[in-house]
Amino acid sequence: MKNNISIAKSGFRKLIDAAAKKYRFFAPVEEDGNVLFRDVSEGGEITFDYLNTTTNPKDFFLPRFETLFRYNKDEIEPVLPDEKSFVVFGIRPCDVQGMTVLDKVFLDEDYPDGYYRDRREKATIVTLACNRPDPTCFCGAVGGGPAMEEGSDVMAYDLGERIIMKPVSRRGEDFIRAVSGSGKKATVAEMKEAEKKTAAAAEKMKTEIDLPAVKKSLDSNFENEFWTEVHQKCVGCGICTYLCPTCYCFDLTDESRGEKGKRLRSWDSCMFPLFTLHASGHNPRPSGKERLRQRIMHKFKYLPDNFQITGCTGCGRCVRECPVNLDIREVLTSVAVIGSPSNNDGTL
Amino acid sequence: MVPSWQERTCESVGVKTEEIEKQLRKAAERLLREKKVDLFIGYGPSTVPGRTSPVFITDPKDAEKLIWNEFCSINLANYLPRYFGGDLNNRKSSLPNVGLAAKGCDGRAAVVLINENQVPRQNLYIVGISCEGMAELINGKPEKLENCRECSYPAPPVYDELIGDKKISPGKTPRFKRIEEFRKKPVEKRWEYFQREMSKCIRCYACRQVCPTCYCRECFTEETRPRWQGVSSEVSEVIYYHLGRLFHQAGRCVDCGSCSRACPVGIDLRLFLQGLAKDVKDLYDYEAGLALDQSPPLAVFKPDDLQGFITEP
Amino acid sequence: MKEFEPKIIAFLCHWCSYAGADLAGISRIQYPPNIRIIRVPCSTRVNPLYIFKALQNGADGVLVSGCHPGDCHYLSGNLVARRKFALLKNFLSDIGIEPERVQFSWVSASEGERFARIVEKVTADIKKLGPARKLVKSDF
Repeated sequence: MKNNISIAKSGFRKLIDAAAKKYRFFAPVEEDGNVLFRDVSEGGEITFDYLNTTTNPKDFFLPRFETLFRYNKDEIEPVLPDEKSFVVFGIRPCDVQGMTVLDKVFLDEDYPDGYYRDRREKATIVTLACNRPDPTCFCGAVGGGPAMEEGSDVMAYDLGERIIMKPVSRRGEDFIRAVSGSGKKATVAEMKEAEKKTAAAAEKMKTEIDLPAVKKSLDSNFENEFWTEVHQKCVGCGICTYLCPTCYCFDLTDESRGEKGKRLRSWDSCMFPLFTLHASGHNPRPSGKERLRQRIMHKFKYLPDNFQITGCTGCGRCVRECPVNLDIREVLTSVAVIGSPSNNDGTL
Repeated sequence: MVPSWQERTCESVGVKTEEIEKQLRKAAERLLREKKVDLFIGYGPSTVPGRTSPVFITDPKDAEKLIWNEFCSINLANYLPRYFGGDLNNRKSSLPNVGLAAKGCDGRAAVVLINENQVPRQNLYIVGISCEGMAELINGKPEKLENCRECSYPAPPVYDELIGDKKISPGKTPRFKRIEEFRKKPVEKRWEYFQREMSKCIRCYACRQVCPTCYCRECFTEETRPRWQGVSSEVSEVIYYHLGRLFHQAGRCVDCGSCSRACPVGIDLRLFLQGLAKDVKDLYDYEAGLALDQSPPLAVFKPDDLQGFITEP
Repeated sequence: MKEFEPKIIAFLCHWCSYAGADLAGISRIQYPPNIRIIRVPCSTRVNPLYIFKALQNGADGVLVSGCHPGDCHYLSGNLVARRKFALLKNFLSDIGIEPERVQFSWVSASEGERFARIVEKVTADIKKLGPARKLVKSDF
């Protein structure tokens, strides 16, 4: 019998304290106008009033930079992740969807990424479903939703004064058991209210994207003139890739001093010109046009072709933060139009 | 009470905002039709409220796409180097003629680019616009941007035609007030603030990419021969990148504010750039982008330059 | 507890300051051994990035020394450098690095004594400030 828990927001610290006995507890905290995940096990004011965190929680599993190993002459010493299990509370369903994409890449059966896997196995994901999407959110249009459960360990719902949580996985059940003393059991009425709120949120999202049409168009429009036009305003900054829940490209560099050093893995972006620069000086993606095309193709053609998943979860961060408003939804709509049967000459 | 700059009629500009839009569209249409320019860069509508999006027009009929409102804050001069950079060994085709809708800061950035030989003056047609100041939406309300409140040169100093009044009053807030206040704080407090801001950085390089005067093909932060620095977001590395970039802007930054606005985590970059701009103005009587053929302040010298900072035993 | 001995990187221009330091040595003039000298052809060769890097890699202070204005072997190198260093000093002070950590001086080839005194002063200044922690790359 699955346990659900209902706890008042004002008493949330009790839940954190209960969890902190077993886990490190990360939750969204407001800092200088940004909402970021911080360790609140020892203290800290968490916020429930946010659309989404400023930066992406993929940082927990694929950190912005991490040391893989250190070396000293011939000796190599791997750097292992932190021992303690941790809970991330307040991830939105779109970011959790992003993690399922990363799981496909890094938790491959034959070649799993040890660093990613270690972190993933220590994590309990408590997803906070959305009640108030922004016009820039479009998770529904790419197969997601404000209360998607896939990938979560626990689903949490914001009912105004109270938070209710229900376990989705084994790890989720462990978590609920660990904190069950800090709240009451959730009532059927509360669960129904949660469903109502998230259904209303799903209604609010107006964006529609014809994903199959986009894929079909991408299959045959690699050389279309459309790409030359659409890339013009892109400045190549990389914000979209760094904030995207499904982007995972990384770079390996060595930093050494004398005979000692370390190998770092850090985020890289396909939007940077250096990303594909060869040692010979040749760059197969010489301009922003090739790079933007690559990004769209990767998300909406290559990932579906190779992994049967879409590389976009509709979180809207790229739309909100792009300094020049290169809206991926506009790009996709145009792509679908150029590929439509009534437009057989392939022009826009 | 609606702030005066928000009113559609703005006395200091001399032209109504809708009128600016009309004149801008007419100018763009004429320039493209008469083939004075091959490409016109201006502002168009955005999908997110409180913003605009750059548009690149080649067809005179598309001039209708241009808009003008209080959210036209992007620095369009940022796009200029890519049309004139190109492969220097492969200059078979002649350079394009580019038209630019330029506010004060865009115009000044274009002048800096011309002075630094990134953009040939004869290939650039500047349609200057006397700017009454741009805004961003904060909690749904338009608030005038900080750098617009402090702007000293709202009309571009160099232009081929100007929409609006040449004599436009500058921003009301004294430009260097904030950095002057900041400099009064003790050293440790300054470090604390700087470090706190820097610790937010994720090294996405948006600040560098939107800056019109950052156009190096290979940025020092990504050079591998020599390797200046590592790639991590450890605070020390982040600071190194910003110190390098900010110092490279000394005497070149036009204070358009694009870097601070583009930053996804809201780092206060302008404050430190203002410090450099203030020193360049006070010590060497120079402000970036005010006239063609200005000599860059760090490439020239005067025999009596101040040297109070030199250590004497 | 050993007394704190700062490590100071000194960029000396080959034609004047380095020669001045040489002269100090030949004349047996004593000065603190805390400086590590890097010889550069001209003071303007010193890229601000070197100074940041020195501080990042654990230097407690940096001294850049060149010819007197008007005496530069390359005619105007130090005059251009003067502007660069003035801005750099204020910039570092803005971000919260103690102004005494990075210092600039003019020392000519015949001023061995002056060089020694300057090194004494710089070392004393930086000793008072203690080890530099702010820009140091912590994890290596």
